[in-house]
Amino acid sequence: MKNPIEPWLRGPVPGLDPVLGAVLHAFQHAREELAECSEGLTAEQIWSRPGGVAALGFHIRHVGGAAERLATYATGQQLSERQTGEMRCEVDPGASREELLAELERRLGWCESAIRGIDPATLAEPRGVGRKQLPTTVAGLLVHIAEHAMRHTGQAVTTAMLIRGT
Amino acid sequence: MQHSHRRQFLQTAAAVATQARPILGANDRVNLGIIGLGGRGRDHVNSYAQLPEARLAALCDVNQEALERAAAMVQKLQGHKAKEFADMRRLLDDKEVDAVSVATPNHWHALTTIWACQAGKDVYVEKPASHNVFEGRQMVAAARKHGRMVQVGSQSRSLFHKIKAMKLLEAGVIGKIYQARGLCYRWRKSIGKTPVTEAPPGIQWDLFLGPAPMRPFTINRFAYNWHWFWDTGNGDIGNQGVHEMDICLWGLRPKSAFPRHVASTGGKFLWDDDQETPNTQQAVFDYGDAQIVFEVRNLQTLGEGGIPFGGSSLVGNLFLGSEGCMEVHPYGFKVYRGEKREVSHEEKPAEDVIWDPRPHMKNFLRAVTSRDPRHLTASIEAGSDAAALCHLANISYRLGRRLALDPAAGRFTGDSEADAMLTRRYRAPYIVPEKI
Repeated sequence: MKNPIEPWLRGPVPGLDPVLGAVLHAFQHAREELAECSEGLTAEQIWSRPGGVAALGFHIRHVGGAAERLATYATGQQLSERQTGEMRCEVDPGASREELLAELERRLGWCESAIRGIDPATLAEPRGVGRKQLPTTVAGLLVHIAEHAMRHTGQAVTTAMLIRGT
Repeated sequence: MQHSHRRQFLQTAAAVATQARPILGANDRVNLGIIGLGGRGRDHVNSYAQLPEARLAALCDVNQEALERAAAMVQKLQGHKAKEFADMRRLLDDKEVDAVSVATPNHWHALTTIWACQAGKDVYVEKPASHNVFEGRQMVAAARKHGRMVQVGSQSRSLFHKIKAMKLLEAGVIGKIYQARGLCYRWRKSIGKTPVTEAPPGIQWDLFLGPAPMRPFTINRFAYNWHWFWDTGNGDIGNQGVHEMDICLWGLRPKSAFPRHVASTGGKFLWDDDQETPNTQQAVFDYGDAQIVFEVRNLQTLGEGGIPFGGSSLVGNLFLGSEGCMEVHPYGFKVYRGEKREVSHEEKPAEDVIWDPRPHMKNFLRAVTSRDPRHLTASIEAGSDAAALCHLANISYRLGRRLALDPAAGRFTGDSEADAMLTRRYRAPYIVPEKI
């Protein structure tokens, strides 16, 4: 049964700095809404593009993939070839709802572990993003991880409504 | 090699484990990750744990129970706690891991190897190297691009009597070879039929399938019997048979591993069960001036040549030449020369335990530390070629016709249907890249 209270109002994540905990709240919010909006949809529906918008399947895959990549930067590392290769196939259609949600869970699970390992005292430390090493900070990445996940979750919910014609 | 002589092996393992051995410094030891911890993966754990140059740093399996069992083995054999992962991508991200040893099902071999090379890790990958022909080429390209040491688990390449036999063939002991025969006679009982169920708790079925199409869970598609489904395995020709196929190529040394023609036939006889792959298969590879003739028999059979049975199995090779013949198998080799077939050479194995993978693993670790690829006795190039022949035979078998090939181009001649079977449709995000 759906919890009527949104994750960010369910209380702090035990033992975790409140800023880091807020990112985990966003992940939980994304998990729940992506599962709910895709419930009962076939793979064909999930990969359809109503009105030419991005497929719901892409959004589900991209939420997890982008979070993993951004968390990689937040921990001071650069992307591996494997990660950039996976990024290129995020739009590949065919995966079912169950497959997409399983992959999302694996990636968010890893991100949570990585975020739990961040020392809150390092939030202002500089970080570089991408090949050009564009400047940001650990805090900048964490905020972007959360808002990026929610932005695509919102688009996914809207796309699901278009698919259902509601 | 799927059925090690386990009791004998464990006895030897126990004996070796209690022997005093030199203590190597941290920088002399290779930090290994073992990926895939089923029966063969546990053999890897057990074997590497006895090699002083190996430290089992990390373990990975999609089955939580297998992971915990292997972790307990490492604790017992090496006295420390290995890191545990369900998702190999996380293990490959771990900077502490220098090299990985891969004992996953066949359909994961290529992607694991390529990802590992991209992550800067050396790789020991079980046979067959690949699940299809395209994958073998991409594995070779990844190893070359990233300068990694990649050894395929073709253990025969580290056995002294087989190395000597192949050197004798190269020196012309039986003259010009016109036929190399591979025999893979292994009695295998029916796998029966198992119903579709929910994947048991602790098994990440989606990760197990990886590049393969999503299918409902059945116990037959999991554990050892994945070998007998085209999505994940390659039948016995690509299981036990790829060892003997490798020896066919090793002894025959054709200019190109790709033949001019391949024809394979057979069937799945006697049993009514879930198995998709044949239990009886013949394949002929035509190289113009010589041929490879390969046979798989998983049912009752008699022997052939002088090759002895080991229990209910008979595996080995026969080489036929202008001046004589050779039989070579796990228990030795013998050369017959002249019309009277007089024995001119005979040799038994130098190793006490012929199924022991440790010599092969030691060669791999030596290459890892020396950075000298000459220590790789079973290169990815050779492993890829041997696997490719198994795949070509399976394509011919599945299409039910003799196929012509263009060896220089590495594809079939004017046959788009067959060409399509040189690769597979991958399930995102588990895609073997076109561009390495």
